[in-house]
Amino acid sequence: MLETLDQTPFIHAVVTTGSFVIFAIGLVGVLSKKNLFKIFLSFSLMESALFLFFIGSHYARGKQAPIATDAFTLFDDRMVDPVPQAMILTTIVIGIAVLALALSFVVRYHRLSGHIRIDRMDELGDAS
Amino acid sequence: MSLLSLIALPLLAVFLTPFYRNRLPIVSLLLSLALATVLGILAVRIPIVEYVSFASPLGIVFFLDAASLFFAGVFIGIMLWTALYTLQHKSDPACFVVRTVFFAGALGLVLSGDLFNLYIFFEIASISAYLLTALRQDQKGYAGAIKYMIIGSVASIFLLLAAMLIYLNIGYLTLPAIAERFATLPRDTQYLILLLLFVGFGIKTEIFPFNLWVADIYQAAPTRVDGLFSAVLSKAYLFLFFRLLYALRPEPDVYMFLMLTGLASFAVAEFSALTGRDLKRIFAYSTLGQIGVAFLALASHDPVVVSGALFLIGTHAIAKMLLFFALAIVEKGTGSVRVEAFGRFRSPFLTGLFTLGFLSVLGIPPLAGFIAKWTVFKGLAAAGHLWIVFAVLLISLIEATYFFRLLSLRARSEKSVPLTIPPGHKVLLGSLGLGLILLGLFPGTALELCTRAAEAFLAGVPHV
Amino acid sequence: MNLKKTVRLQTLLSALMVSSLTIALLGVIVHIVPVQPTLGSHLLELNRAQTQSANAVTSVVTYFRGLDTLGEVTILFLSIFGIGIGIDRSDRMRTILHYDNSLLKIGARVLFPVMILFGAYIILHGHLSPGGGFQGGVVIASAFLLMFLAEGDAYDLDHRIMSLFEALSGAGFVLLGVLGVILGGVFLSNPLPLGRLGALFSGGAIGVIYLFVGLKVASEITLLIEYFIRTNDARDA
Repeated sequence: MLETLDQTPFIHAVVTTGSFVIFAIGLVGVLSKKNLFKIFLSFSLMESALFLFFIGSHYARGKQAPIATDAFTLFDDRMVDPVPQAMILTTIVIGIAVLALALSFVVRYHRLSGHIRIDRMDELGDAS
Repeated sequence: MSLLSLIALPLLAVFLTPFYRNRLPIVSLLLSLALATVLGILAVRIPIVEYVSFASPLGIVFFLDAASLFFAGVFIGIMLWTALYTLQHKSDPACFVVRTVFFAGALGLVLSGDLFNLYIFFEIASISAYLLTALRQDQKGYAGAIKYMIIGSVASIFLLLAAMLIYLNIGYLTLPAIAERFATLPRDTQYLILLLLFVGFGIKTEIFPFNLWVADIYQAAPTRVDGLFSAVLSKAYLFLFFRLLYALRPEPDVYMFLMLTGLASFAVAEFSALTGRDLKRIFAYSTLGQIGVAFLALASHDPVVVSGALFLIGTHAIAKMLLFFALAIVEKGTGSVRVEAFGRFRSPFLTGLFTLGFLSVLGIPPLAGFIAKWTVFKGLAAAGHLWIVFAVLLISLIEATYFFRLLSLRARSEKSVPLTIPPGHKVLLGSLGLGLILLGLFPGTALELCTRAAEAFLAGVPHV
Repeated sequence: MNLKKTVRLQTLLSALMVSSLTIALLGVIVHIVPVQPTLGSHLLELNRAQTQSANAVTSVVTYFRGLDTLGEVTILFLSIFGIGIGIDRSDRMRTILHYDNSLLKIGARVLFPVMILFGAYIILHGHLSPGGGFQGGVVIASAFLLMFLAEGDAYDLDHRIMSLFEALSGAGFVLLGVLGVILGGVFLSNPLPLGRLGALFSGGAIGVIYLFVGLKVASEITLLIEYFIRTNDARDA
C-alpha cells in the first residue's frame, strides 16, 4: 500500500491540492481581514502556496537535484528541471522586497494616522 | 548597438547615483538624450531580435518591431520632456531613482519577449509606481500606496499563476514558443490561462471592473506623477496585454468580450467623472475613459482601428501630461485641487492650454484627438461595428458635459490668484499644446507610423 | 478565558466563494502533467559545455537567465531604497531593539565572524553545491541582525560603506553585462574562462555574478533590518 502512495501522480495530487488549499486560505485572508499587516501576510501565504505547487509539480519519483555530485555526473533528465527552481528563487526575493516595502508603508501610515485598519482608511474619495 | 542598452543605461545610472547625487537633473537629461539616440540608431534596423546571455532561441529574447518602437519612442519622449521640465529643480535622489527605474521598467515591458522576464519588469514597474505614489510621504500618499500595493499584489499573483501554468503545459518561456504551442492545449486550460491573464492585466490596465481603486491612487499621488501614470504606465500594460493576446490567437468571441469590456469601462468612467468634485479624480476618470476606448479599439483586431488606437494612445499621452502638469501649477498656486480652485487662478496661458487639452481628449477638430477618434470610428464602421461608434459618441456627450462645465468655471468666475510660471516650463507646456495642434492639422507622418506599428502589432511576435 | 471566536459574515461569504473557486480551479489543474521536453531539459544538456558549473540551478539563475537576476537585484535595491526615503533624524534616534543578556553579547561576538565566513562560503560555492548569492547574502545579513540584537545602539553601521557596496555591486553586475556584449557579442554572455567542472574557479562569470549578488543582498537585507529594528518600545510601531 505504501508503494502506491509513493507514485508520482499521487504525490502531484497531494502537492497540488494542498498548495491550493493554502492559496485559498490566503485569499480568504486578503478578502476578509481588516488589519493591513494581516492582509499583506495573507499575500505572502498565497505566494508560498504557488511556490510549493510549482516546484512540487516538477518533481517525479526517482529524480535528483540538478547538482553534479560524485554519484550523478550527467546532466540529463534524471535530474529535476532547474528552470522552475531558478524562477522561484527569483520570485521569493521579489516577494520579500514587496512585503518589506508594504510593511514600511504600513508603519509610516500608522505613525501618521494612529491605526492600521483598512476599513478606517478614509482619506481618499470624493467626499474629502 | 545592443537593444539591452535601453535597459542597462538607466539601471547603471541608478546604481551609480551616490557618485553624483548633487547633479541629478543634468544626469537625467543626459540619460534621456542617450536613450533617444540609441533608439534612433536602432530604429532604422527594425525588426530586431536580440538574445540575452547566449545566442539561441532558448535564451531570453528582446524584440524591437514597429509596434514596440512606437511605444518605446513615446516613453523616451516623455522621459526627455520630464527631464527638461525638472532641470531647474533641486537634485533629489529619491525622485531620480524612482522615476528612472519607472521608465526602465516601462521600456522593459515593451521590449522583452520572454514571459518570466516580463513578470520581472512587471514587478519593477509596479514597485516604482508604488513608490511614486508615496513620494510626498503624507498620510494620503501612504494610504493610496497601500491600497495600490494590495490590488497590485493580486495582479502579480494572478500573473505568476498564469506564467506557472504556461510553463507546466508548454515548457517554454519565450513568447514565440508559447504562441506556437498555445492552441494545442486542452480548451479548459486555455480558458483558465486567458482568464488569469485577463484579471491580472485587467487590474493593471485599469479597465472595468478592476479600476475602482484608480481614482484613489491618482488622488494620493503627486499631481505630476499622475501625468506619468496616465501617459506611460497604463499604456505599457495595454501594449503588453494585447501583444500577448494577439500572439495567443484566441477565438473571436474573446475579442468581442474584450471590446464590450472596453466600452463598459468607458461608460462607467465618464459617468463617475460627472459627479467628481476633485480635479485629480475627474482627470483620472477621464484617463480611465480613454483607456476604455483604446482597449475597445485594440480588441477589435482590425488594422485601421488599431492604428487609430495607437494614435489615440500617443495623443492622449501628450494631452494628459499637459493637463496634469498644468494642474500641478494650479495646485501650487491656489493650494487646492477641488473643482472650485479651477475658477480661482489667473493665467490666460494655462486657460488656453487646459482648453487645448480638454478639446483634444474630447476629440474636437482640428486637434490631434479628433484624428485619433475619427480613425477609430472609420475603422469600426467599416468592420461592421457601427453601433459601437454610436455608443461611444453618446457617452462622449457626458465627457463634453463635465469638460465644458470646467471651462465655464474659467469664463465666469473671479480669478483672484495670479500664477507665475517659469519661462522654461511655459515653453515645455506650450510645446505639448502645439504638438496637439500640429498633430491635428498635419497627421500624415504620424498616422503612417501608427499604421505600420499596427501591422506589426497585429502580426503577433516576430519569429525566432 | 473565552475562546469563542466570532466569525464575521464577510469572512464566511468570502470563504464560501473562494472554496468553490478553488474546487473549480483544482478540477482543471489537477490533470496537468508537466510536458516534456522543456526549456529546463534543454538547458541541462547545454550546462556542462557552456558553463562547467556543477550546480545547474546556479547556471540558470546567473547565466542562462541572468537578466532576470539583474531585474531582481534592481527590485531589491528599489524596495530598500524606497524604505530609506524619508528616514529622518527622529527615526534614527529611536533605540535598536536589543536584549541585555551577557551570554548573548559574548556569544554574538564569537559567532559573528563564523557566520560571516559561513555566508561567504555559501556565496562563493554557489556553482558547486546548493546555495549562492541570495542564500549566502541573507546569512551574512543575519550575522548583522545578531549583532544588533546583542549590542543594540552601541553597534553602528557605517552607511557610507553600505551604499558604496550597494552601488558598486549593482553597477558591477550591469558592467559585466556590457563586458559580455563587448567580448561575446551578447548582453551578459559569459566572457571569462570556464575552468573545469567541480573546481572552485569554474563557471567563468557565474562566480563573479553571484559574488556581486551576494554582496548586494547582504547590504540590502542588513539595511532592511536596520530600518525595521528601531523602536521606542517593543509594542510601538
